[in-house]
Amino acid sequence: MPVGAILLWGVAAPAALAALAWCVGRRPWRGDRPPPGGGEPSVRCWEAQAVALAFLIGYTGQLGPPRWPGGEVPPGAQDWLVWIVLAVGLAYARPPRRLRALFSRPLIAAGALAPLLLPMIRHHWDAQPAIGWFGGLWAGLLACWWSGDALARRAPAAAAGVLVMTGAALALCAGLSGSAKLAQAAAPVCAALGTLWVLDLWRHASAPATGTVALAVLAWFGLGVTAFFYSSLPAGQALLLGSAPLAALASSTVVGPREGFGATVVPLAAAALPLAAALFLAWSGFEPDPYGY
Amino acid sequence: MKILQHAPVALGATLFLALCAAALARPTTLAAHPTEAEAYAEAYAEAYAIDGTHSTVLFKVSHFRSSLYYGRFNEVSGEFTFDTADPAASSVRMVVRADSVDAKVENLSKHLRSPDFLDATQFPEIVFESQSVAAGEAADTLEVTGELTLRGVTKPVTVTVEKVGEGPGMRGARLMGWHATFTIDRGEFGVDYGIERGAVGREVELIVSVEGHAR
Repeated sequence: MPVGAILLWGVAAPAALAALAWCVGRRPWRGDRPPPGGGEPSVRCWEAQAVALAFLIGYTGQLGPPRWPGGEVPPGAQDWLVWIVLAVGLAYARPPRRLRALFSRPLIAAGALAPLLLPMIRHHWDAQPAIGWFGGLWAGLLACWWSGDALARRAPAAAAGVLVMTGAALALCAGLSGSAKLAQAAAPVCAALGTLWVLDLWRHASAPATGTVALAVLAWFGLGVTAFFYSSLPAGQALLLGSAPLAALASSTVVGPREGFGATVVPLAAAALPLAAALFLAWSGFEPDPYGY
Repeated sequence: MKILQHAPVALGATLFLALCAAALARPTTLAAHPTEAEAYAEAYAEAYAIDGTHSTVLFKVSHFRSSLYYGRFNEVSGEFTFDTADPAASSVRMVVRADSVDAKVENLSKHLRSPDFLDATQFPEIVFESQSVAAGEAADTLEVTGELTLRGVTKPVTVTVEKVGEGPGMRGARLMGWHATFTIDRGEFGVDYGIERGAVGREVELIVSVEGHAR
């Protein structure tokens, strides 16, 4: 695929979609003041849905439409992930009261991990490792969600930034460790999140809209699982990438100031450390072929 | 008492005579030699296990439309049956481990195993299973029609296979070797990375050489 097409579908289109959703929700032309302390305006925001749709559009534009069960080519974990993120994004749009329980986090985590791990369960694992891996990843996803939400409450301007940095590092690590497709799949989510982050910083409406953090965490966790099990992302790099939100939260809680510039910069710097370590490992483990692959 | 003393001798003699009578009474087929054709058919209508050590699966694909790149799969298994009297009764099932792909450079092998190409962890086996076999036009060839499953996609494929030879192996086991070359459109199997830019060709030639050990 030409570089121009990758930039169009992987960056420009998702960024434009996110910007559109942000404008519809935040209405900057009306000069509305952001809510005290930042956060969502009273009108409906579609930012999480824009991120989910950006994933679908960016994936389709670069790699073709994600496969669907029953099609001629069976879906892989990466295809499932696009549909899962889209479904969760739609569920966050306006979940009816009756569906709130159904879409509770533990159930979403289990439902999202099941198709991602299905090939391992089918071809590689016995019951015991399957239960162990499934339980561990389920708890890990819930922990990442919890830390992302806590970070968004404590350091709202930093939360989206940490997720953008994590996604970019994940894309680079996945690409360097063996799968360009997974790196390309991460690009549209990164572009959409990055656009929302910059616009939020600009308008001082710094907290991500409802569901945006959860959706981004789900996308990164799913891509990390896919790159680890089905490509060649080393475990050390996966753990460093997954620890970035926790590091940001820990720094914000323990040493970071509650307000001001430092409240944003300290968590970003703390998240950058494990991400930089992961990138260093990925780069040092990559042996470039002088003739290209 | 004397009679009792000679009883073992009498019993042995009786047993000997009974065995001779039984041998003489057996059907004549044992005594008669089978015809050469019967022996030929009998010898070839048997099953062979594919020897993974002495079987080879190579692939050949164009690289940036400039050169032809060769790689291989290192783990091959399966079985085949061959019936000279009735080629249609022959069959083959061959399994190649997708994660055994070997491109000489480990980073390239990893890329081929990744979801970009074979997605070897999610779709660990490449399987060819015959549906029908017919005698080929040339001597010692067969037209094998079957289903090739690659990356979870199953497509019909017809392959002309040529018998390389046969004979006793190291420990006297009967060996038989077959060779085939055929081309697939990898895009049809969902292995489409790099086709658009022409970095890696759409058409992949598979060169398969199989050695079987009679079971």
